Amino acid sequence: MTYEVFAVLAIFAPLLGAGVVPLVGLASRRARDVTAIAFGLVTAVATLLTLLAVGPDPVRVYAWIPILGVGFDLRVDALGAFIAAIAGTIGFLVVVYSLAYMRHAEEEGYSLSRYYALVLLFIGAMIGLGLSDSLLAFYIFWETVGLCSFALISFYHRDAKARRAGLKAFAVTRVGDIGLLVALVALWSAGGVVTFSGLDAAGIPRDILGLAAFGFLLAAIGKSAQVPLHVWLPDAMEAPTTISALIHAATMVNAGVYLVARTFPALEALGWWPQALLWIGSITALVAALSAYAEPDLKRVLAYSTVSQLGYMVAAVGAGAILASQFHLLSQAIFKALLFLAAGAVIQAVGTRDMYGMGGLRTKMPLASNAFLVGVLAMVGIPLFNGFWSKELLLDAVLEHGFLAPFLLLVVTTFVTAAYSWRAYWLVFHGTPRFAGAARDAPRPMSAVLVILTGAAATSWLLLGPYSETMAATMPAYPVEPLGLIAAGVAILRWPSGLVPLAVAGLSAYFVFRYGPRFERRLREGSAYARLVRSGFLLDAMYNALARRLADSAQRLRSTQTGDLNINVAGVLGGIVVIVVVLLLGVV
Amino acid sequence: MAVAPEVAVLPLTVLLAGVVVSFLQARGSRGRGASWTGLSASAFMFLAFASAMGLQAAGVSGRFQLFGTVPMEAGGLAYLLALIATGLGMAVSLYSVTYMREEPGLERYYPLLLLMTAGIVGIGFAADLFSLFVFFELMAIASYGLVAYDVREWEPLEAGMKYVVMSGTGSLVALLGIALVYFFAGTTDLAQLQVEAVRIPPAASVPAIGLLVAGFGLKASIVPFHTWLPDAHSAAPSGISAMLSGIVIEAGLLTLVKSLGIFVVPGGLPEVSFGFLLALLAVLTMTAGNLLALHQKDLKRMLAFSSIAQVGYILLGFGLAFEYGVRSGVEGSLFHLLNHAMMKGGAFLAAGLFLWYAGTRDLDRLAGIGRVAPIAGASFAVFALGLAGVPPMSGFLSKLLIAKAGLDAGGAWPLFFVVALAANSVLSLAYYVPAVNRIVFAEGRHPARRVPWTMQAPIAALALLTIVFGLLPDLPLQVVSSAADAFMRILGGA
Repeated sequence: MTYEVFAVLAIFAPLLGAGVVPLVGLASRRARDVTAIAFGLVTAVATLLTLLAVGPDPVRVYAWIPILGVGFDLRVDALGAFIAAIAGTIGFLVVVYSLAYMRHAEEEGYSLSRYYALVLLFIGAMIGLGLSDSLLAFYIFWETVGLCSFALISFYHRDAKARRAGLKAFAVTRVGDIGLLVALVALWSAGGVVTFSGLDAAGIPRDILGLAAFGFLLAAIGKSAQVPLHVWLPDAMEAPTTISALIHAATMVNAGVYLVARTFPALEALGWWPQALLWIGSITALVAALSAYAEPDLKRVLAYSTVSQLGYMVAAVGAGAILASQFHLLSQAIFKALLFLAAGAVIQAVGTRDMYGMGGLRTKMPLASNAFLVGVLAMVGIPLFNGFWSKELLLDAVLEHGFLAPFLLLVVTTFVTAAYSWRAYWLVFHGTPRFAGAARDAPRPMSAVLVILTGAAATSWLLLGPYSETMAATMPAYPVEPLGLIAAGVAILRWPSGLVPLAVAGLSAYFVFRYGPRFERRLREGSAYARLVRSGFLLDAMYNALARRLADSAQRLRSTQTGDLNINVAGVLGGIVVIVVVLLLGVV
Repeated sequence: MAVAPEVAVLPLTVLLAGVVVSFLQARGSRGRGASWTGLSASAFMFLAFASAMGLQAAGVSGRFQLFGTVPMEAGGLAYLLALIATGLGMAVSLYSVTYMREEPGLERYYPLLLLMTAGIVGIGFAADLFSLFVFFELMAIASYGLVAYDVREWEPLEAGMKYVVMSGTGSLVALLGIALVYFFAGTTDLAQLQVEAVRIPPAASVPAIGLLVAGFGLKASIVPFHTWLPDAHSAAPSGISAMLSGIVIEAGLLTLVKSLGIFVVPGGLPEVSFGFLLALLAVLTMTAGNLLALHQKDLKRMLAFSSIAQVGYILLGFGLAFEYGVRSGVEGSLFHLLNHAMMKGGAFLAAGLFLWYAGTRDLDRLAGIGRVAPIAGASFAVFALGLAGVPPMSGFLSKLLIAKAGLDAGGAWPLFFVVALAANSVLSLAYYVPAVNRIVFAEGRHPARRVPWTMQAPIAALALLTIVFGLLPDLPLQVVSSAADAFMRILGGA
């Protein structure tokens, strides 16, 4: 196979770009923008060509750290290659959109050289994460993704809220990263496992495998913003909207879902592990959807909706439906990028993220309005849009494997999803305008990207056949069957798994238009429900209390630092006595 | 190529020659002359570094007598320590060319810096408990003069005073431990003691271990013997802070580890299980260090507290190695020692640059300083994140190896140690990241000022090295691995 060069190019072209763009930026802004676009385009093309290079076996690209027996290995199978392709292409579209969208930031004194460099680094790290077989390389890419998200979320660094949100995202996901670190070290230590492909349940002691499984789970919960570590994602909305699109569609949150899917064949044998995924996923889906309904902030609604959709995917992996989870990941990536970028156009035009300050934009911004509507239709799962196919496939798989309770949770979520989506669409685009000034559709590069994504949201489901075939061909260890469109259609329309969610979504639309306004008034007045959601279902309050407790104990510890020499010398002597006593206890 | 081990005396000789030359050169010279003294001190550091590198590459090893009497041993551990000390020393003396130019009394500064480095190099080579102690004291006494360097100010004087008293107490305690060993074993030779050590009854070895841990551990700032460190490390000139935090306390730790090696029966694990004690102290040290760093508003003080935490990480690897005989612990600790020297040394140099630029160490008043001094600002971000263990900076791999040692050891306690290590890494983010936020991202008003290359170049070089060693760790790991070989021979393992 000589196609691997595409995989290597896909990883390193954006990383190189991250270094080159700021240098070009020293000379000329225009040349810098062109360079960023060029590197983005090369990356997107390379990731698409990588899809041609798929195969089941890992490839050693570079000896890397022979002394530890760790090489730089890539594994270009369908699972990784699709993650990379999503990151590459959507990443490229975001870079194009940024050309117009971020221009104002430069005038306000924020460095776009830094912006483009970090975006390219972000994309490159995500592609590397998807294609790495070596666990150590995976870990480095994983953490680099986290680092980029921190720097980009706090991009508007003059805003204290943005800086705090960046810190929160970094700290919370790092809690999950401990899990990844422990898992990696445990596998390395116990079985000498340093690659994903070497991860085989048979060769590893059961308790070590359990430890690793727990670690991977924790890492995925942190990165893919699952309950109870989902609190960072809504706050991350302080980022520029382009970055939100990137994080939600292409580069960050997909990593956790990918990780659990990647490790599924080895960890499936642990009965509790798939069960945990199912429950965490379906509970997250519902909790996040309920949260989305109470949000007045357009971007936060979308953030919660991502958390909710990721819940679907995690649950699907738990049910063993790898294909459905990854196919939904593709759909979500497209319609969520579309929704965010449409929202970005609206927010830029109106100058606020508060939906109560919008309204009536349907006639003023027809393009953004229609793009958002298509995104909503796809997210709700209306037939013929991509979200319909992937979500129904997913629900079908969960039920088919006999997980009734999670299935019901997910069906209820479908109801709530439809409700919050219609609510957002209605508040933003319908009714009377609640803002001053004129609003117009976005300039050309932004609009072009919206048109492309709208088309993709309507058609990406046509890929199901080839998608499932490549998966089945290159991932022998995974439970994936090739699935044609017609067969999928039949499976989807079967009673009850297919038609119930559809009926539920329709019912939901009726309820929103009938009772929505009355409910909305109650929400604005701050009902108990709204308060519960704003406290992050009490989780945020709990974490804050924990952090305060820690800070207090640190403060108290400072009083031991007296600076009085007599006390310190006495402390040394006391320390010796304690040490000797401890040692004696060991001897006796 | 068989070379007599005697040539291994070269780095030490070069440094001692540098002491004399820089003293003569610096006497009475100010301004331009002072710059030349700094450059020649850097040159001597470089020569020592290059000779250590050459000796390491040529694989020169074995025992020899310094001045015909002092037993020394050339080997991987000695070279690693020599390379770190002289490498960082090179960066610091180059940095000091401008930073210290206007200070009076440079005839004390550079000679003491070189002498301190010589002491550290000697610690690596010493093959005898007493000469180990002598080199340790050489390092310590030179550092007293450097901490209290600025005699016109109250703060360094007070810090230096505390440092002398505490460190003196530690030395006395350690010497008592050495005397105890000598009394029972009749020799101070490290290799012989491993054989003779069986003759020391536990009733004597327990207090001896206790005295050595407390005495040398004080210098390594192991909690509860750490109280002197924040004052001393933040009051010293920034170049010296870089040396103190980057290599001096670690040299103290290695002195401790080398001296404790005598209680290991070859081919087995120690009779008295002090490895477990070290691991417990390590967890205490990292936790206390990180918690104490949380509320610091003084940048250099914050870095000083973080050094305590980092010593905890290094100590943990050695503790696990002593208790369970795991090689990855030694490798991780030695590699972390190298990484920490680069990262913390670099961080202090960057902090010094900010202090030089803005005249303050207060984090609030340093807001946005990274934008007017972008190279130092970006480098500081690299160092801080690396210290927190974020890849691709090199600190993460060494921490990972230490964590691997815990799992290699197996069992509930080692797992607890690993979790403590991981939790501490997250805890440390709570001060590193806000500091980066404040320095690099926040708004602040600072006048434009030209930053000389002699200050920027060492910082940028250390930052670059931190990333390169993180991405391509094979070369440093080879040096570390040969040093670990020497250590594992003490443990009698493979």
